[in-house]
Formats: sequence, C-alpha cells, structure tokens
Amino acid sequence: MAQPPGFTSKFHPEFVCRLIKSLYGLKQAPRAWNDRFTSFLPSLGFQASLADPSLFVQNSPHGTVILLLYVDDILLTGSHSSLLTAVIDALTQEFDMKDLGPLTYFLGLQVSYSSSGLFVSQSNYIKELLDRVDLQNSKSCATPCLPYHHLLKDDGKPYSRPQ
Amino acid sequence: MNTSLWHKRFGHPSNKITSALLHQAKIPFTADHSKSICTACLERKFTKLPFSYPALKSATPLEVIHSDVWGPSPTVSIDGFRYYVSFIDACTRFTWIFPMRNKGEVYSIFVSFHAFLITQFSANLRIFQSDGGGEYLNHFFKQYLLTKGIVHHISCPYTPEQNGFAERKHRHILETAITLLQTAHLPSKFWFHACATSIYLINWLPCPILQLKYSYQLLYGSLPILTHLKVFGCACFPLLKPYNTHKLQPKTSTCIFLGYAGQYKGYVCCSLRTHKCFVTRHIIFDESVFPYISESSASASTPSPSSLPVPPSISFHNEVLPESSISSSTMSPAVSLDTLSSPIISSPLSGLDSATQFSPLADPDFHPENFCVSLPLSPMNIHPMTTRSKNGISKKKAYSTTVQPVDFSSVEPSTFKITSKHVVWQSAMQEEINALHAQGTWDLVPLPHAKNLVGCKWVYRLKKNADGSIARHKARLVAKGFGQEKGVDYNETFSPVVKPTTVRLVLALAPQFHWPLRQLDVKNAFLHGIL
Repeated sequence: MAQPPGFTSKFHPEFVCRLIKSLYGLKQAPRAWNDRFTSFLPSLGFQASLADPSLFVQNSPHGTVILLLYVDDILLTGSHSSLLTAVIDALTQEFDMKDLGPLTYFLGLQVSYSSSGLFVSQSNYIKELLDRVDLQNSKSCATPCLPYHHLLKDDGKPYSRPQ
Repeated sequence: MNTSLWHKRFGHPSNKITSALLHQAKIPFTADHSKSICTACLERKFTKLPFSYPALKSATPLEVIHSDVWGPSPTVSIDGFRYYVSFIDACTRFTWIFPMRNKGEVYSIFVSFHAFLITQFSANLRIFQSDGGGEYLNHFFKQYLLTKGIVHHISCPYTPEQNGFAERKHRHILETAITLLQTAHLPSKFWFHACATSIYLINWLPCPILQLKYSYQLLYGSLPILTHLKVFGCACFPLLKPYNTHKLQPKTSTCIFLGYAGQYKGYVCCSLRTHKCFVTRHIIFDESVFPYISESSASASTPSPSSLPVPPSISFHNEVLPESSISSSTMSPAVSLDTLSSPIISSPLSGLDSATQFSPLADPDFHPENFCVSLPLSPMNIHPMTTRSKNGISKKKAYSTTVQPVDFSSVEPSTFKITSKHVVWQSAMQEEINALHAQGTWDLVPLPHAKNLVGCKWVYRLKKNADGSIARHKARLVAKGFGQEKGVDYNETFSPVVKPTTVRLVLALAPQFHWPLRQLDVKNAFLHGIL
C-alpha cells in the first residue's frame, strides 16, 4: 500500500507499506477479521455450529455458553453469568472489546425485558427505513398479522444434522 | 551645420519647430533635404496618419453599400440575438439592419438582401465596403461577390476609420436605441427592438450630411408620412379578443409598444402580464405612460414569477390583418425583406370585423404598409420547439462556499489538504498512525517489481455527544480496496448473512432458561485481521 498522506517516511519516501494486518477498505479485511476471530474461539472451548457458521457453542461441565457473531457485534448468553464473565474477560484480553451490558439492540432487533420474558420489536429499524425512503410523515395503516408465535416443544420435524 | 543635427540637439522636435527656432535664434544652418526622415522619431512618435480623403461616395442610390457587424451585445435579446449587421447606402444613407444569433449569418443575410435590392430597386450594386472581419472574408462571401461582379473594399487591419460610414452609423443607432430604452425604462434584453425602431426612425429623419434631406425621400422619392409614429416603450392596449379562450375574458391588457412591424401592417407590442408579443393594428396608445417601470418596481416589492424581469416565455403571435379595403395597388415597392426566412403564420381571423371594434387608429388614412421600411420581424423565435431559454430556465450561478469559510474543526472535512491545516485533525491522524504502528500493521519495503500498489486515504469522522457537542475528532486510514485485483491481491472476501432463525432461537432460549443476555462490540475489528 502507498504510504499514508502526511506520514511519509523521511528516509524512504519511495518505499511502500507491506501490510501485515488488515486495514479498512481492503477487500479481504472482513474475511481476515472473521478468520482471526473464529480461529481464536476454539481456544476458549467454543465450537462453531454446523448449521450456522456465526453460531458458536461452548459446552462444559459448568454449563453452556452460546455466542452469536455478526462481523463485530457479539451476542452472548449462557447458563451462568459467571461463565459469561469469564468468556468476556478472555475476549477482552485478546481483542479490544467494548462491553455493552445487557442486550438491547442487535441486528435491528430491539429487545426489552419484562417479567414474562423478552419483547422483540423492530420499531427503530422501521423508523430508520422510513427515514431512508423519506416516508416518515406518511400515515400509518393497520396491517393485521398474528401477534405472537407459539413455539411448541414437539412442533414440527427435527432437522437432520448437517455434515 | 545642417538641420538634422540641430533636430537631434533639440531633442527631436518636428521639422517645423526646428526651422522656426533656428530662424528666430539666427543660427546659421544648411537645409538638409536628403535626411528629412528621422527613424528615431518615427519609431517613438509615429501615430495614425490623418484621414483627409473622403469616404467612398456615390451619386447613384444603392451603388455603394457600406456594411459592418455590431456585437456581441452584452445581453441576449428576447429573441436570442446578439449581433446585428448593418447595410448603408452611401448615396442616400438609407440603412437596413438585420439581427443575428452569430456572425456566420452575414453571408445568407447579404445574399437575400442583395436579391431584395435588385428586385425592389433594380439596384446595381457595384462596391461593397466592409471591414476585414472573417464574416466578410470567408470563401462563400468572396465567391458570391465575385460571381455578382461586386468589388469588395476592405478596410485595413486596425483601421476602423476606413469603414467610418458604418461605424458612425452604429453610434447613431445605438445612441438612439439606448435613449429609447432608458426613457421607456426597458431592460437591455429589448435592445434589438430599440435598435430596429431607431433605424426605422433614423431613415425618416433629415440627414445633415445630405443638406437636411431625407434618406427615405432620396431612396423612395416620396416624403415619409409620420402620423402613425408613437413613443417607444409606451403603454398600449391592443385588441386581444381573437386570442381569448372564452367570452368573459377582457378584450385587452396593458402592453408595451416595441416598434413597427415590418412585414405586417401594424405595431409590435409585448404583453406585460403574459410576456407574449403581438402584432396588431387594432391598438390604442397612451404615450405618457411607460408601464414597464411600474411593473419592475412592483416586482421589486413583491417578486412573483409572472412579473420577473426575465419573462418565463416569449411567444409571438403574428396577426394578419383582415384589411380587405386596401387594394394591392397601394402597396409600396418597399415590401419587407424576410431575411431569416421566418415562416409567416397566417391565421385568418374569421370573426374579427375591424369596423365593429373600437376605433383602431386616430388617423383613418393610416396605412402602415405605405412606409413599411423593411424591418425584419424575424427576431421572433416562432419555432415550435420549446427551449430552456424560452421557458426562462437558466442555471443559477454557483457561488463558491469559500466566501464564508467553513470551520473544519466542527465540520467533517473530506480532504487531507484541509485537515493538514487543522491541529485537531492532525492530532487525530497522529493518534491513528500511532495505533497502527503499535499494531504492527505494516512495515516499509521497496515496491516489489510488477506489483499492484493499493492507494490509501484518510477518512474523517466527528464523534458527537448526545447533546450534539463534539466528543472526538476521529481519523481513519482506509485502503483504496477498489484498486485491488481479485486473484492477485486477494482471493476471497467475506460478507456474513444473518440467519434470522438462529437469532430467534438464541433469543428464545435465553428467557426459556432465564439466561442472561450480554452484548459485546469489538473496537476496530478489521484492524485485528492478519493477512
């Protein structure tokens, strides 16, 4: 890569930068990051799911931790908060991490907590979408649909294990 | 001692002064006739020689024609003209002017003008005087003059005096035109209407150089009739009933008088309200009122699109008058010359009976066609195509934002050139460079042979607090990945696709087992990747 403007080497202005680590803008940057992160996770006992490469599960005698990765956003849940804290600490040591606390917003999903469980909505995402297409002042219209979806333990057929 | 030596001693005065001085001082000298030209004097003092010989004159009308092009006008006329070409008869000083969009039209105008002279006056044009402009010196023009046997007199380069006839006429035309425009408070976009009117009038005025005879009289043999003249730019009220779309519309509206229609037996006027131009004979004048000034002052206080100085559209309606009483025998030989081949729109007005309308003119004997002085009415752009200029669409002048300097310490700049002058951005870039060095992102090497060099640039972001205040100036170095070649500079890229089922599953599991949900974010994630 060419030397950055304003920070050209005094001694070797004709030299170029041989990139060792990736940089924003490079085509391979997302892939390099993903390789870097997913190759680190097995050292913490995580295994990538065969069904979804962004899902990682850590099964240990102490409990289970589930990690969901989307580029640089990480969603973490597990059977014990002590297990979660251990994972967060390990990750923070390896990477420059920012702990955002309890989940509130992930991939456009707004999550609010109640005594009966979670409420997931996309009102923020819809607002952003309306802003983008310049429809924020349009009148709303009722669009009936099922208010909730019952998940039953024995509903449907189990999927076959992916190879 | 001879005079040339004294001439040098006195510091090169003229010969007259030198000899006078020598005579008065009683200094003996010998006249030096051989060296009467002092090169040093010529080199430093030479000016134009006096023009003592008379300009080309002629005893027969239309034998010698002087011509010149005026323009470009600083303002384009409402019909899109920037130039006019003038033809002046050296004998009678009768002058014709024709509007042009560009100078190249001179040739075609001259060809039709010459035909007009031959047909109308049986003229025998022998000498054509012009300046050395390219519009007169091109191949077509020369060839035409050659085939017609006309001698072309061209003024010397940088010697407009030799074309003084035409140059002086320009001054007369324009001085009159400017006066007409000023008194009528008309904007300069009406310049050609004013010029056409002034030449119409100038041809009828007694000419001092012709012992106060009339150009018109000398050419046509009859005295001009002046009863139909009106003040240029004054208010007028044409009968606009034929243009109405329904019967309850007013029959007239205030117009400004813009001159005498050459091809038509009537007057040209332009509506103040619609900015449409009409040619009509059914018209009443109020010569004390110049309505354009009131309109422009009104538009200054309340600008409305209809009263803008630039009319949104100018369209011309040419009305052919149903004047059946005038027999063709009264037509004067001076039928108008249609140089620009504008199609004559004949709109037979069926329901218009001039007798039943209001009295058209004060003088019942007025037949404008009798002194129709071949003013081309072709300035009217009646081509059906709608153009931007006809609709008043013009690109607004873009004023540079550098007039009000932007404070780039509070606005996100886009170039390194700007940020290199601001300390806050400089420190932000230094911070990023330090971080990249700490990461060991690159090392400096000479460029390997035949390798693709990827560029890089700085991207600047302002991090703001919730209250809008600036929290941090952030600079990020990004590679110009668009310069990378697949298979050479990189093999595979990665763009993850969310499986909503997985997200839903995780979000369902957590409350099911009462697990805590945590969220993490990796800072500068892409910088962690290893190539």
